[in-house]
Amino acid sequence: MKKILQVQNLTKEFKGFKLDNISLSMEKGYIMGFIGPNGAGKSTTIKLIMNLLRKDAGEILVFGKDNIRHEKEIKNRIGFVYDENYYYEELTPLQMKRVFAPLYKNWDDNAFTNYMRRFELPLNKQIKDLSKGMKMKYSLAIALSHNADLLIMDEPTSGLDPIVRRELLDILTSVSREEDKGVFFSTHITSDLDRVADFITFINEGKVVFSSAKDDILENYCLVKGANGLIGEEEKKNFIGIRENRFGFEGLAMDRKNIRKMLGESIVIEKPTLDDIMLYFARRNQDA
Amino acid sequence: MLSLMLKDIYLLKRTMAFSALYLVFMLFVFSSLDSAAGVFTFCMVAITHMLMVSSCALDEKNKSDVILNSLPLSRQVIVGARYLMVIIYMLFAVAVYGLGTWVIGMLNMIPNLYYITLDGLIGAFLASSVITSIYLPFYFRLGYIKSRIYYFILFFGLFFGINLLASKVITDSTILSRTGLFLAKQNDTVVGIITAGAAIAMLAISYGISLRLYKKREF
Repeated sequence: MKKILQVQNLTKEFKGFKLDNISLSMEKGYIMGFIGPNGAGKSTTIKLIMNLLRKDAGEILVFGKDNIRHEKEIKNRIGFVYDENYYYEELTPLQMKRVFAPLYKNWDDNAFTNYMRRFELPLNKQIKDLSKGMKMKYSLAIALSHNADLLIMDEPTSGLDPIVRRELLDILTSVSREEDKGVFFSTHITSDLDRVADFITFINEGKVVFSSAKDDILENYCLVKGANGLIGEEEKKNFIGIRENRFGFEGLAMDRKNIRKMLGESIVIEKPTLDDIMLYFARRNQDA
Repeated sequence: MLSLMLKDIYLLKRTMAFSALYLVFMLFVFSSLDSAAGVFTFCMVAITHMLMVSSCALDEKNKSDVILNSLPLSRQVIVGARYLMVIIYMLFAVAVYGLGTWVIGMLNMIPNLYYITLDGLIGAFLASSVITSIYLPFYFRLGYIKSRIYYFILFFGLFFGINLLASKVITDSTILSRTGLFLAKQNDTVVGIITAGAAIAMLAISYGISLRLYKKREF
Protein backbone atom coordinates (compact mmCIF):
# COMPACT_ATOMS: atom_id res chain seq x y z
CA MET A 1 0.00 0.00 0.00
CA LYS A 2 1.12 3.52 -0.75
CA LYS A 3 2.05 5.58 2.28
CA ILE A 4 0.26 8.92 2.52
CA LEU A 5 2.28 10.15 5.48
CA GLN A 6 5.88 9.32 6.35
CA VAL A 7 7.84 11.01 9.09
CA GLN A 8 11.49 10.01 9.35
CA ASN A 9 13.85 10.96 12.18
CA LEU A 10 12.06 14.24 12.77
CA THR A 11 13.72 16.50 15.31
CA LYS A 12 12.77 19.88 16.68
CA GLU A 13 14.23 21.47 19.75
CA PHE A 14 12.77 24.25 21.87
CA LYS A 15 13.96 25.58 25.18
CA GLY A 16 12.98 22.86 27.64
CA PHE A 17 11.55 20.41 25.10
CA LYS A 18 12.88 18.26 22.29
CA LEU A 19 10.95 16.29 19.72
CA ASP A 20 13.55 13.61 19.44
CA ASN A 21 14.13 11.77 16.18
CA ILE A 22 10.57 10.54 15.72
CA SER A 23 9.41 8.28 12.89
CA LEU A 24 5.97 7.09 11.87
CA SER A 25 4.01 6.28 8.73
CA MET A 26 0.43 5.69 7.70
CA GLU A 27 -1.54 4.44 4.72
CA LYS A 28 -4.66 5.58 2.93
CA GLY A 29 -8.02 4.37 4.24
CA TYR A 30 -6.98 4.09 7.88
CA ILE A 31 -7.28 6.12 11.04
CA MET A 32 -4.09 6.63 12.97
CA GLY A 33 -4.46 7.75 16.56
CA PHE A 34 -1.60 9.91 17.73
CA ILE A 35 -1.67 9.68 21.49
CA GLY A 36 0.37 10.95 24.36
CA PRO A 37 0.02 13.03 27.52
CA ASN A 38 -0.20 16.83 27.38
CA GLY A 39 3.14 18.28 26.33
CA ALA A 40 4.33 15.02 24.76
CA GLY A 41 4.93 16.63 21.34
CA LYS A 42 1.70 15.85 19.46
CA SER A 43 0.89 19.42 18.41
CA THR A 44 4.54 20.09 17.60
CA THR A 45 4.58 17.10 15.25
CA ILE A 46 1.38 18.25 13.54
CA LYS A 47 2.68 21.79 13.19
CA LEU A 48 5.86 20.43 11.61
CA ILE A 49 3.82 18.34 9.15
CA MET A 50 1.80 21.48 8.27
CA ASN A 51 5.00 23.55 7.99
CA LEU A 52 3.88 25.91 10.75
CA LEU A 53 7.15 25.12 12.52
CA ARG A 54 10.56 24.62 10.92
CA LYS A 55 12.18 21.28 11.58
CA ASP A 56 15.76 20.99 12.84
CA ALA A 57 16.31 17.63 11.16
CA GLY A 58 14.50 14.74 9.52
CA GLU A 59 12.12 14.26 6.64
CA ILE A 60 8.37 14.62 6.22
CA LEU A 61 6.75 13.10 3.14
CA VAL A 62 3.06 13.58 2.47
CA PHE A 63 1.67 11.58 -0.47
CA GLY A 64 5.31 10.64 -1.08
CA LYS A 65 6.37 14.28 -1.53
CA ASP A 66 8.43 16.60 0.61
CA ASN A 67 6.07 18.72 2.71
CA ILE A 68 7.97 21.96 2.10
CA ARG A 69 9.01 21.64 -1.54
CA HIS A 70 5.49 20.59 -2.58
CA GLU A 71 3.69 22.53 0.12
CA LYS A 72 0.89 24.03 -2.00
CA GLU A 73 0.13 20.78 -3.83
CA ILE A 74 0.10 18.82 -0.58
CA LYS A 75 -2.08 21.30 1.29
CA ASN A 76 -4.64 21.11 -1.50
CA ARG A 77 -5.09 17.46 -0.50
CA ILE A 78 -5.06 17.94 3.29
CA GLY A 79 -8.08 18.78 5.43
CA PHE A 80 -7.22 20.10 8.87
CA VAL A 81 -9.08 20.51 12.13
CA TYR A 82 -7.28 22.09 15.07
CA ASP A 83 -7.97 22.07 18.78
CA GLU A 84 -9.36 25.58 18.78
CA ASN A 85 -11.13 27.85 16.37
CA TYR A 86 -8.75 29.82 14.16
CA TYR A 87 -11.42 31.09 11.78
CA TYR A 88 -12.25 34.79 11.70
CA GLU A 89 -14.83 35.15 14.44
CA GLU A 90 -16.28 38.29 12.87
CA LEU A 91 -17.21 36.50 9.65
CA THR A 92 -20.11 34.14 9.00
CA PRO A 93 -19.56 30.52 7.88
CA LEU A 94 -20.76 31.52 4.41
CA GLN A 95 -18.32 34.44 4.13
CA MET A 96 -15.48 32.26 5.40
CA LYS A 97 -16.38 29.62 2.84
CA ARG A 98 -16.28 32.25 0.05
CA VAL A 99 -12.75 33.13 1.16
CA PHE A 100 -11.53 29.52 1.36
CA ALA A 101 -13.29 27.89 -1.59
CA PRO A 102 -11.25 29.54 -4.40
CA LEU A 103 -8.00 28.52 -2.68
CA TYR A 104 -8.68 24.80 -3.14
CA LYS A 105 -8.40 23.20 -6.58
CA ASN A 106 -11.05 20.57 -5.84
CA TRP A 107 -13.50 22.55 -3.76
CA ASP A 108 -16.94 20.90 -3.82
CA ASP A 109 -19.73 23.36 -3.04
CA ASN A 110 -22.36 20.61 -2.93
CA ALA A 111 -20.37 18.67 -0.34
CA PHE A 112 -20.05 21.85 1.75
CA THR A 113 -23.79 22.54 1.56
CA ASN A 114 -24.56 18.93 2.50
CA TYR A 115 -22.22 18.95 5.50
CA MET A 116 -23.59 22.30 6.70
CA ARG A 117 -27.10 20.84 6.50
CA ARG A 118 -26.08 17.54 8.10
CA PHE A 119 -24.34 19.32 10.99
CA GLU A 120 -27.25 21.79 11.29
CA LEU A 121 -24.93 24.78 11.07
CA PRO A 122 -26.19 28.28 10.31
CA LEU A 123 -24.68 29.99 7.27
CA ASN A 124 -25.25 33.58 8.27
CA LYS A 125 -24.46 33.73 11.96
CA GLN A 126 -21.10 35.14 13.02
CA ILE A 127 -18.61 32.39 13.89
CA LYS A 128 -18.07 33.92 17.34
CA ASP A 129 -21.72 33.15 18.15
CA LEU A 130 -21.36 29.43 17.39
CA SER A 131 -20.83 26.94 20.23
CA LYS A 132 -17.51 25.09 20.54
CA GLY A 133 -19.09 21.96 19.09
CA MET A 134 -20.51 23.91 16.15
CA LYS A 135 -17.15 25.56 15.46
CA MET A 136 -15.49 22.15 15.42
CA LYS A 137 -18.16 20.80 13.07
CA TYR A 138 -17.67 23.83 10.84
CA SER A 139 -13.92 23.13 10.70
CA LEU A 140 -14.77 19.56 9.78
CA ALA A 141 -17.21 20.70 7.06
CA ILE A 142 -14.44 22.84 5.50
CA ALA A 143 -11.93 19.99 5.85
CA LEU A 144 -14.26 17.55 4.11
CA SER A 145 -15.39 19.83 1.28
CA HIS A 146 -12.34 19.84 -0.95
CA ASN A 147 -11.85 16.12 -1.57
CA ALA A 148 -8.88 15.90 0.79
CA ASP A 149 -7.08 12.55 0.87
CA LEU A 150 -5.66 13.10 4.35
CA LEU A 151 -7.35 14.63 7.38
CA ILE A 152 -5.02 15.99 10.04
CA MET A 153 -6.71 16.67 13.34
CA ASP A 154 -5.09 18.08 16.45
CA GLU A 155 -7.12 17.27 19.57
CA PRO A 156 -10.44 17.85 17.79
CA THR A 157 -12.47 16.28 20.60
CA SER A 158 -11.04 18.22 23.54
CA GLY A 159 -13.72 20.24 25.27
CA LEU A 160 -16.60 18.67 23.35
CA ASP A 161 -19.58 17.04 25.02
CA PRO A 162 -19.92 13.22 24.65
CA ILE A 163 -22.70 13.46 22.03
CA VAL A 164 -20.72 15.71 19.67
CA ARG A 165 -17.59 13.63 20.30
CA ARG A 166 -19.39 10.45 19.36
CA GLU A 167 -20.83 12.12 16.25
CA LEU A 168 -17.37 13.27 15.19
CA LEU A 169 -15.91 9.79 15.65
CA ASP A 170 -18.72 8.27 13.57
CA ILE A 171 -18.02 10.76 10.77
CA LEU A 172 -14.31 9.98 10.85
CA THR A 173 -15.00 6.26 10.65
CA SER A 174 -17.26 6.67 7.64
CA VAL A 175 -14.80 9.05 5.96
CA SER A 176 -11.92 6.59 6.28
CA ARG A 177 -13.91 3.42 5.48
CA GLU A 178 -16.26 4.63 2.76
CA GLU A 179 -14.25 7.41 1.16
CA ASP A 180 -10.84 5.78 1.51
CA LYS A 181 -9.22 8.77 3.18
CA GLY A 182 -6.48 8.72 5.79
CA VAL A 183 -7.13 10.31 9.18
CA PHE A 184 -4.27 11.35 11.45
CA PHE A 185 -5.90 12.14 14.76
CA SER A 186 -4.06 13.41 17.81
CA THR A 187 -5.68 13.20 21.21
CA HIS A 188 -4.94 12.64 24.85
CA ILE A 189 -8.43 11.19 25.32
CA THR A 190 -7.55 7.64 24.32
CA SER A 191 -11.07 6.27 24.79
CA ASP A 192 -11.94 8.13 21.54
CA LEU A 193 -9.52 5.87 19.71
CA ASP A 194 -10.48 2.57 21.32
CA ARG A 195 -13.49 2.58 18.97
CA VAL A 196 -12.20 4.07 15.74
CA ALA A 197 -8.42 3.85 15.31
CA ASP A 198 -6.70 1.25 13.15
CA PHE A 199 -3.17 2.26 14.12
CA ILE A 200 -1.76 3.94 17.17
CA THR A 201 1.38 6.00 17.56
CA PHE A 202 2.22 6.74 21.15
CA ILE A 203 4.52 9.64 21.86
CA ASN A 204 5.88 10.53 25.27
CA GLU A 205 8.34 13.28 26.22
CA GLY A 206 9.15 13.89 22.56
CA LYS A 207 9.90 10.26 21.70
CA VAL A 208 7.80 7.66 19.90
CA VAL A 209 7.19 4.78 22.31
CA PHE A 210 5.46 2.59 19.73
CA SER A 211 3.69 2.90 16.39
CA SER A 212 1.72 -0.10 15.17
CA ALA A 213 -1.73 -1.61 14.59
CA LYS A 214 -4.10 -0.99 17.49
CA ASP A 215 -5.14 -4.65 17.72
CA ASP A 216 -1.49 -5.77 17.89
CA ILE A 217 -0.82 -3.29 20.67
CA LEU A 218 -3.81 -4.42 22.69
CA GLU A 219 -2.84 -8.07 22.10
CA ASN A 220 0.83 -7.57 22.93
CA TYR A 221 0.32 -5.78 26.22
CA CYS A 222 -1.53 -7.20 29.19
CA LEU A 223 -2.82 -5.83 32.46
CA VAL A 224 -1.87 -8.04 35.38
CA LYS A 225 -3.65 -7.93 38.74
CA GLY A 226 -2.84 -9.87 41.86
CA ALA A 227 -2.40 -9.90 45.61
CA ASN A 228 0.46 -8.25 47.41
CA GLY A 229 3.43 -10.48 48.05
CA LEU A 230 3.20 -12.28 44.71
CA ILE A 231 5.84 -10.12 43.12
CA GLY A 232 9.28 -9.26 44.33
CA GLU A 233 11.94 -6.97 42.89
CA GLU A 234 13.03 -9.61 40.35
CA GLU A 235 9.48 -10.10 39.00
CA LYS A 236 8.92 -6.36 38.78
CA LYS A 237 11.60 -6.13 36.10
CA ASN A 238 9.18 -7.88 33.71
CA PHE A 239 6.65 -5.05 34.04
CA ILE A 240 6.51 -1.76 32.19
CA GLY A 241 4.91 -0.21 35.25
CA ILE A 242 3.31 -1.30 38.49
CA ARG A 243 0.84 0.31 40.89
CA GLU A 244 0.63 -1.10 44.37
CA ASN A 245 -1.72 -0.44 47.26
CA ARG A 246 -2.72 -2.31 50.40
CA PHE A 247 -5.18 -4.51 48.48
CA GLY A 248 -2.79 -5.73 45.81
CA PHE A 249 -0.97 -4.72 42.67
CA GLU A 250 -1.80 -3.90 39.06
CA GLY A 251 0.82 -3.69 36.34
CA LEU A 252 1.33 -3.51 32.61
CA ALA A 253 3.49 -6.16 31.00
CA MET A 254 4.29 -7.40 27.52
CA ASP A 255 4.81 -11.12 27.54
CA ARG A 256 1.54 -12.69 28.68
CA LYS A 257 2.85 -16.28 28.61
CA ASN A 258 5.97 -15.46 30.55
CA ILE A 259 3.98 -13.60 33.21
CA ARG A 260 1.58 -16.53 33.57
CA LYS A 261 4.50 -18.94 33.83
CA MET A 262 6.23 -16.76 36.38
CA LEU A 263 3.26 -15.92 38.61
CA GLY A 264 0.98 -18.91 38.07
CA GLU A 265 -2.82 -19.01 38.24
CA SER A 266 -3.15 -16.70 41.23
CA ILE A 267 -3.11 -13.59 39.04
CA VAL A 268 -5.73 -12.12 36.71
CA ILE A 269 -4.61 -11.11 33.22
CA GLU A 270 -6.78 -8.65 31.31
CA LYS A 271 -6.66 -6.83 28.01
CA PRO A 272 -5.53 -3.26 28.69
CA THR A 273 -7.14 -0.13 27.28
CA LEU A 274 -5.05 2.48 25.48
CA ASP A 275 -5.48 4.60 28.58
CA ASP A 276 -3.83 1.89 30.71
CA ILE A 277 -0.92 1.61 28.29
CA MET A 278 -0.42 5.37 28.14
CA LEU A 279 -0.64 5.70 31.90
CA TYR A 280 1.97 3.03 32.68
CA PHE A 281 4.41 4.22 30.04
CA ALA A 282 4.09 7.81 31.18
CA ARG A 283 4.57 6.74 34.80
CA ARG A 284 7.64 4.65 33.93
CA ASN A 285 9.26 7.68 32.35
CA GLN A 286 8.44 9.82 35.38
CA ASP A 287 9.95 7.24 37.71
CA ALA A 288 13.06 6.73 35.57
CA MET B 1 -4.57 36.40 -3.37
CA LEU B 2 -8.03 37.72 -4.27
CA SER B 3 -9.50 35.50 -1.53
CA LEU B 4 -7.34 37.15 1.11
CA MET B 5 -8.29 40.56 -0.20
CA LEU B 6 -11.97 39.58 -0.07
CA LYS B 7 -11.44 38.47 3.53
CA ASP B 8 -10.08 41.92 4.45
CA ILE B 9 -13.01 43.64 2.78
CA TYR B 10 -15.48 41.46 4.71
CA LEU B 11 -13.62 42.17 7.95
CA LEU B 12 -13.23 45.90 7.42
CA LYS B 13 -16.64 46.85 6.05
CA ARG B 14 -17.58 48.76 9.18
CA THR B 15 -14.14 50.30 9.64
CA MET B 16 -14.27 51.52 6.04
CA ALA B 17 -17.67 53.14 6.62
CA PHE B 18 -16.35 54.70 9.82
CA SER B 19 -13.23 56.00 8.06
CA ALA B 20 -15.44 57.72 5.45
CA LEU B 21 -17.27 59.58 8.22
CA TYR B 22 -13.95 60.32 9.91
CA LEU B 23 -12.68 61.86 6.69
CA VAL B 24 -15.66 64.22 6.40
CA PHE B 25 -15.10 65.18 10.04
CA MET B 26 -11.41 65.91 9.31
CA LEU B 27 -12.34 68.07 6.33
CA PHE B 28 -14.37 70.31 8.62
CA VAL B 29 -11.82 70.32 11.44
CA PHE B 30 -8.91 71.27 9.16
CA SER B 31 -10.89 73.60 6.89
CA SER B 32 -9.31 76.68 8.47
CA LEU B 33 -5.74 75.53 7.76
CA ASP B 34 -3.74 77.35 5.11
CA SER B 35 -2.18 74.19 3.72
CA ALA B 36 -5.22 72.55 2.17
CA ALA B 37 -3.04 70.08 0.22
CA GLY B 38 -1.66 68.89 3.55
CA VAL B 39 -5.19 68.00 4.64
CA PHE B 40 -5.54 65.64 1.68
CA THR B 41 -2.18 63.97 2.43
CA PHE B 42 -3.10 63.66 6.09
CA CYS B 43 -6.53 62.17 5.27
CA MET B 44 -5.06 59.63 2.88
CA VAL B 45 -2.28 58.57 5.24
CA ALA B 46 -4.68 58.38 8.20
CA ILE B 47 -7.29 56.27 6.39
CA THR B 48 -4.75 53.95 4.77
CA HIS B 49 -2.93 53.43 8.04
CA MET B 50 -6.13 52.97 10.05
CA LEU B 51 -7.44 50.28 7.68
CA MET B 52 -4.08 48.51 7.43
CA VAL B 53 -3.58 48.42 11.20
CA SER B 54 -7.19 47.32 11.82
CA SER B 55 -6.74 44.43 9.43
CA CYS B 56 -3.47 43.40 11.12
CA ALA B 57 -5.13 43.63 14.55
CA LEU B 58 -8.03 41.40 13.49
CA ASP B 59 -5.63 38.84 12.04
CA GLU B 60 -3.69 38.78 15.29
CA LYS B 61 -6.86 38.52 17.39
CA ASN B 62 -8.04 35.53 15.36
CA LYS B 63 -4.53 33.94 15.33
CA SER B 64 -5.05 33.76 11.61
CA ASP B 65 -1.43 32.96 10.76
CA VAL B 66 -2.13 29.37 11.79
CA ILE B 67 -5.06 28.99 9.44
CA LEU B 68 -3.57 30.98 6.56
CA ASN B 69 -0.41 28.92 6.64
CA SER B 70 -2.41 25.69 6.73
CA LEU B 71 -4.18 26.59 3.48
CA PRO B 72 -2.68 25.96 0.03
CA LEU B 73 -1.12 29.41 0.04
CA SER B 74 2.51 30.40 -0.17
CA ARG B 75 3.94 32.93 2.23
CA GLN B 76 4.64 35.16 -0.79
CA VAL B 77 0.90 35.35 -1.41
CA ILE B 78 0.06 36.04 2.24
CA VAL B 79 2.57 38.90 2.40
CA GLY B 80 1.75 40.15 -1.11
CA ALA B 81 -1.98 40.31 -0.38
CA ARG B 82 -1.30 42.61 2.57
CA TYR B 83 0.66 45.04 0.39
CA LEU B 84 -1.93 44.93 -2.38
CA MET B 85 -4.66 45.66 0.13
CA VAL B 86 -2.75 48.78 1.17
CA ILE B 87 -3.02 49.98 -2.45
CA ILE B 88 -6.77 49.25 -2.29
CA TYR B 89 -7.03 51.26 0.95
CA MET B 90 -5.22 54.15 -0.76
CA LEU B 91 -7.64 54.02 -3.71
CA PHE B 92 -10.54 53.86 -1.25
CA ALA B 93 -9.19 56.91 0.61
CA VAL B 94 -8.84 58.84 -2.68
CA ALA B 95 -12.38 57.87 -3.74
CA VAL B 96 -13.88 58.84 -0.38
CA TYR B 97 -11.95 62.11 -0.31
CA GLY B 98 -12.96 62.88 -3.90
CA LEU B 99 -16.60 62.12 -3.20
CA GLY B 100 -16.54 63.98 0.11
CA THR B 101 -15.04 67.18 -1.39
CA TRP B 102 -17.40 66.99 -4.36
CA VAL B 103 -20.50 66.80 -2.12
CA ILE B 104 -19.22 69.42 0.36
CA GLY B 105 -18.19 71.66 -2.55
CA MET B 106 -21.63 71.39 -4.12
CA LEU B 107 -23.21 72.38 -0.84
CA ASN B 108 -20.61 75.15 -0.45
CA MET B 109 -20.02 74.28 3.18
CA ILE B 110 -16.23 74.82 3.29
CA PRO B 111 -14.79 77.80 1.40
CA ASN B 112 -11.16 76.77 0.79
CA LEU B 113 -11.67 73.12 -0.06
CA TYR B 114 -8.70 71.28 -1.60
CA TYR B 115 -9.67 69.19 -4.60
CA ILE B 116 -7.41 66.30 -5.57
CA THR B 117 -4.65 67.13 -8.04
CA LEU B 118 -2.11 64.79 -9.61
CA ASP B 119 0.72 66.40 -7.60
CA GLY B 120 -1.23 66.06 -4.38
CA LEU B 121 -2.09 62.47 -5.22
CA ILE B 122 1.53 61.50 -5.84
CA GLY B 123 2.65 63.26 -2.64
CA ALA B 124 0.01 61.46 -0.61
CA PHE B 125 0.92 58.15 -2.27
CA LEU B 126 4.55 58.70 -1.25
CA ALA B 127 3.61 59.55 2.34
CA SER B 128 1.32 56.51 2.68
CA SER B 129 3.99 54.29 1.12
CA VAL B 130 6.63 55.49 3.60
CA ILE B 131 4.40 54.67 6.58
CA THR B 132 3.38 51.29 5.12
CA SER B 133 6.93 50.37 4.15
CA ILE B 134 8.14 50.99 7.68
CA TYR B 135 5.24 49.34 9.49
CA LEU B 136 4.67 46.07 7.64
CA PRO B 137 8.13 44.49 8.07
CA PHE B 138 7.73 45.00 11.84
CA TYR B 139 4.29 43.40 11.69
CA PHE B 140 5.46 40.39 9.70
CA ARG B 141 8.40 39.83 12.02
CA LEU B 142 6.78 40.46 15.39
CA GLY B 143 3.02 40.22 14.98
CA TYR B 144 0.60 43.05 15.72
CA ILE B 145 1.08 43.75 19.44
CA LYS B 146 4.88 43.72 19.59
CA SER B 147 5.19 45.50 16.26
CA ARG B 148 3.20 48.50 17.56
CA ILE B 149 5.77 49.15 20.27
CA TYR B 150 8.83 48.95 18.02
CA TYR B 151 7.05 50.82 15.25
CA PHE B 152 6.18 53.76 17.49
CA ILE B 153 9.74 53.94 18.76
CA LEU B 154 11.13 53.89 15.23
CA PHE B 155 8.48 56.19 13.79
CA PHE B 156 8.97 58.93 16.37
CA GLY B 157 12.70 58.34 16.33
CA LEU B 158 12.69 58.95 12.59
CA PHE B 159 10.35 61.92 12.94
CA PHE B 160 12.53 63.72 15.44
CA GLY B 161 15.70 62.41 13.84
CA ILE B 162 14.74 63.92 10.51
CA ASN B 163 13.93 67.24 12.17
CA LEU B 164 17.31 67.16 13.85
CA LEU B 165 19.00 66.27 10.59
CA ALA B 166 17.11 68.98 8.76
CA SER B 167 18.20 71.64 11.24
CA LYS B 168 21.84 70.61 11.71
CA VAL B 169 23.13 68.30 9.01
CA ILE B 170 21.18 68.76 5.80
CA THR B 171 22.41 72.30 5.33
CA ASP B 172 25.95 70.90 5.08
CA SER B 173 25.10 67.81 3.06
CA THR B 174 26.23 68.11 -0.51
CA ILE B 175 24.32 65.01 -1.69
CA LEU B 176 21.00 66.20 -0.29
CA SER B 177 21.44 69.76 -1.42
CA ARG B 178 22.42 68.52 -4.89
CA THR B 179 19.33 66.30 -4.96
CA GLY B 180 17.21 69.28 -3.95
CA LEU B 181 18.75 71.41 -6.66
CA PHE B 182 18.30 68.64 -9.23
CA LEU B 183 14.59 68.27 -8.39
CA ALA B 184 14.07 72.02 -8.41
CA LYS B 185 15.33 72.16 -12.00
CA GLN B 186 12.94 69.45 -13.23
CA ASN B 187 9.44 70.01 -14.51
CA ASP B 188 6.40 68.71 -12.57
CA THR B 189 6.05 65.56 -14.68
CA VAL B 190 9.62 64.41 -13.98
CA VAL B 191 9.30 65.19 -10.26
CA GLY B 192 6.00 63.28 -10.20
CA ILE B 193 7.53 60.24 -11.90
CA ILE B 194 10.54 60.28 -9.56
CA THR B 195 8.28 60.61 -6.50
CA ALA B 196 5.93 57.81 -7.60
CA GLY B 197 8.93 55.65 -8.54
CA ALA B 198 10.49 56.22 -5.12
CA ALA B 199 7.21 55.20 -3.44
CA ILE B 200 6.91 52.02 -5.53
CA ALA B 201 10.59 51.16 -4.92
CA MET B 202 10.11 51.62 -1.19
CA LEU B 203 7.05 49.34 -1.17
CA ALA B 204 8.94 46.72 -3.22
CA ILE B 205 11.94 46.76 -0.87
CA SER B 206 9.64 46.63 2.14
CA TYR B 207 7.78 43.64 0.60
CA GLY B 208 11.10 41.82 0.12
CA ILE B 209 12.10 42.44 3.73
CA SER B 210 8.65 41.44 5.05
CA LEU B 211 8.69 38.22 3.05
CA ARG B 212 12.13 37.29 4.26
CA LEU B 213 11.11 37.90 7.86
CA TYR B 214 7.77 36.12 7.52
CA LYS B 215 9.38 33.03 6.00
CA LYS B 216 11.35 32.63 9.23
CA ARG B 217 8.26 32.90 11.45
CA GLU B 218 6.88 29.88 13.31
CA PHE B 219 3.30 29.54 14.49
